[in-house]
Amino acid sequence: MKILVYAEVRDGAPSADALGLLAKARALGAEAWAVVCGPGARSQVPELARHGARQILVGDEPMHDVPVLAERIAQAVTQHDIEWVFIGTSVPACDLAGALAARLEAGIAWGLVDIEVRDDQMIGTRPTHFDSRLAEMGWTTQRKIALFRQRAFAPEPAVPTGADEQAIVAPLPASAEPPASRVKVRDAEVTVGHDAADAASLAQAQVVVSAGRGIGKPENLAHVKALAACLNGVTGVSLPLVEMGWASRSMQVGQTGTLVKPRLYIACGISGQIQHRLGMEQSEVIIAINTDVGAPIMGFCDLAVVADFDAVVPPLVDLIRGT
Amino acid sequence: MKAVVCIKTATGGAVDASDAFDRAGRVGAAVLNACDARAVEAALRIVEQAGQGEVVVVALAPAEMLGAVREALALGANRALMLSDPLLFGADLLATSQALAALLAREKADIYLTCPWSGDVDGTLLWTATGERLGLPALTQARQLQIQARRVIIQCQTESGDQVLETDLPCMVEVTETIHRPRYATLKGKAAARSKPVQLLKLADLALEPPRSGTQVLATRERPPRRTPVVLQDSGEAPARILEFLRGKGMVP
Repeated sequence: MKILVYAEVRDGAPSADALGLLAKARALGAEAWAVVCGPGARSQVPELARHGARQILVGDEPMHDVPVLAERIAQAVTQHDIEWVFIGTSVPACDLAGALAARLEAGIAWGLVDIEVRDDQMIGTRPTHFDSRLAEMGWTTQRKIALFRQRAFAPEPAVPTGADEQAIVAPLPASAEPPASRVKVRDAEVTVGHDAADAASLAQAQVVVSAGRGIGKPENLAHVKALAACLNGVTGVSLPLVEMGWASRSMQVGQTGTLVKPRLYIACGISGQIQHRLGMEQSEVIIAINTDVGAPIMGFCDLAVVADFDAVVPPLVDLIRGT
Repeated sequence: MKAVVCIKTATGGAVDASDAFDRAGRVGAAVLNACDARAVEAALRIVEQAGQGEVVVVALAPAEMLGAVREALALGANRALMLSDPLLFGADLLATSQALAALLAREKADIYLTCPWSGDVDGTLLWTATGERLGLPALTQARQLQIQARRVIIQCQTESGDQVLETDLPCMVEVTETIHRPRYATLKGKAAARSKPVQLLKLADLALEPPRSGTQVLATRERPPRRTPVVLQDSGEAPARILEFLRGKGMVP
């Protein structure tokens, strides 16, 4: 069985999701392949090889040019008779996944948190109904695409040396009639409101204190930051605060922001919509402070504090500082 | 300028996320959901900016969901197409994209728009799969959308920050919930909506065999709750109780 992992490059390196998927492909006993694209893709080869990719396909196509990228990868899948494509969820990866499914007529299951072999069949696990149920997904097509949630699998430590020399590296097959490139990034790569260092510190933090719309006013962010500071933590926010311009996107916890896994997560005035939940539910201990006892977050925390922000957070900061 | 806007009648006004995930439960209230209203708004603005043209509403839904389509017409869309066929019930993404592509291909619009609920990965997948079948670029997660001389420019929201992408018409654009605040339907608009044409189609009208799904739900089971929250109601004591809780976990000295 061949599994092709789409190795998305983020901040100059293969994403943790891609490395985790390589580990999973190997754990399934499959032949792990990787495809990496974009300018400088070739420089990612050693890292992918050290994480278990045995065959690595390299393409120059930029990630945003989905029609071209999908065509090239579909060609490779057919030519090398690859049965499975594993992809980690992200905005550009989802664009590719949908196009690839149509091009290959491949069954696609998304939102997966696990995959296993049972009676010679691969079965994917997908949480549904606000994560209260688990669905078992099967595929009925010759080619199959499995799209996993962020951080579904942890990467294995890289093999120190040598492995990169054993991997077989090949360019993505060229097609006779490549589709015209039609999507372009305007000017250079324009990124707004993203600070990779901020997002990285959030991702690695042991304590995260996050604020949502329920904190009431932008001035209250100072109290949230003070609480984070006295717990040696990092401050996060939910999507609405970014949309309202109270905080930068690099501070956003959630599906479209940063996925956090701290020992302690304190959510202040956050209702806990699924997009936010996906970004923080793997925290070890969760404290939610919210005026609404019926807010979704009150159901997936360890301590649900039904109270007003002003009545709890500033005095809590004073108490901790006093100790 | 011809803009086609795809709406989902699966999720009702309350936008129950579980519906979006649940293949079996694809029936909701026959109202236009908040996300779809934004896609309609984007389509109306594009045609208004062009000075002429039409907005066509497209839905894959049971005929009972006509109410949502009428609401979109009340906002100002000109006419609607509904592909309503029991043979599509239970269709997965791969199958649905075939039907949607066949439906959209009839209209030959300049721009196709949609606005999925933001946690709705399958909405994005359906969009790019359909774009691939139509041979059109499908841009997704557009927070801003401009059209300048048939050049489409979007600001797209990704994990590594926002990116400005551009392509030419015709194309498909998925906008996010933050793009525009939708207008309200006027009484006049609501009255007019009743007489605007809505064409009901079956797969056979598109000369389409029932498309085959590529995945199946084998089983579902309860997921055991992983946390049992302790609820603290008294705000007066809350700070002290939280501190005690943190100490108990060894998180503050």
